[in-house]
Amino acid sequence: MASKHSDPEALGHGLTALKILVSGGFGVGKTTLVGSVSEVRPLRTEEDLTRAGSGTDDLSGVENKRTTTVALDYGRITLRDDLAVYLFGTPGQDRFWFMWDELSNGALGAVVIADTRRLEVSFPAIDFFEKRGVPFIVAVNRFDNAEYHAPEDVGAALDLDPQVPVIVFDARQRTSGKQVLITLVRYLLASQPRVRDDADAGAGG
Amino acid sequence: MVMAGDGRHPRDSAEWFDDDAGPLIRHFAVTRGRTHASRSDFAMVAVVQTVSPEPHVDPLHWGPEHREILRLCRRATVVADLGSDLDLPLSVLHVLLGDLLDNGLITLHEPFTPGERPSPKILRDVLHGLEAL
Repeated sequence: MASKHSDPEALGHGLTALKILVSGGFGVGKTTLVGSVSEVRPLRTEEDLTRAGSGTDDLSGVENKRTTTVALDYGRITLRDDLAVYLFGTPGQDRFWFMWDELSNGALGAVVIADTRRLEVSFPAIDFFEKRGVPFIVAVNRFDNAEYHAPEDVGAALDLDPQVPVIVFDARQRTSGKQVLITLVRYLLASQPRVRDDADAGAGG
Repeated sequence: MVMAGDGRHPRDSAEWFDDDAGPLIRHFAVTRGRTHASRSDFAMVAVVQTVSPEPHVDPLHWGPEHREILRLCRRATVVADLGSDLDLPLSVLHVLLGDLLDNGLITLHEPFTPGERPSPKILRDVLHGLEAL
């Protein structure tokens, strides 16, 4: 379906746009992270309610409404005229699970945000990315009133592959959020199959 | 916000009241009743560009949304940004892009498909770009 990929370094008319997903359960700080590191832009789509799992919706009073508007605000980080990173948060509600497939299609990788007070809300995201083979890191959002847990303990509690980086961060802080994205990209570089002589492809974070 | 070429915001046309009311011309009218793109999916970060030289499009056959897309995409533009700039739902935008693509008025470059990874060079460029922010 794609047009020519003959020049992989200049995809898309010289403009390369890369998609990173920001995921995790409800209230873990997805929107905060996207807002702290990128220019947030409004986007919406209209979805068929039947596709969106109308069985779980309370449709009383809106019997004639067959589509629902889904807000998909995203963040854009323009790195150069010809290079931009797009951050998409995955919808939190279960009824929008079907959108995860669309969002993860062609994604570079994902950040799963975790809250140590309720790690379980981030399990579904981890399961999803593991099954889909989307590389991800876990970013533990350090809430003020949460007890500190070492990253390795969080990784163990989440039953992660030991190679998956776990980083503790503060979603409100731009530098901290930036470090999360850098950790993901370093991980992608380090885990690339058949990496050539890449001077700076070491795992970091 | 994006302004149309004549300095008019797309919403300034009389059909709009406010966000709650929504457009009086419903989206299915914009897409002439079609709800599915003629192509399966346009990825959110696919890059669209109007073909060059830009062909004349007959305003009798092409709606203002189609023409606005052609105008915006003289410069390579990402699908998500188009949806945001035009304040059109992605589902509607996909139909319009399908029309333009089927008529050879735009080209579309999709990003990496599953299993396809960006080269280490692009990843390093991203890394350096992020570090320099």
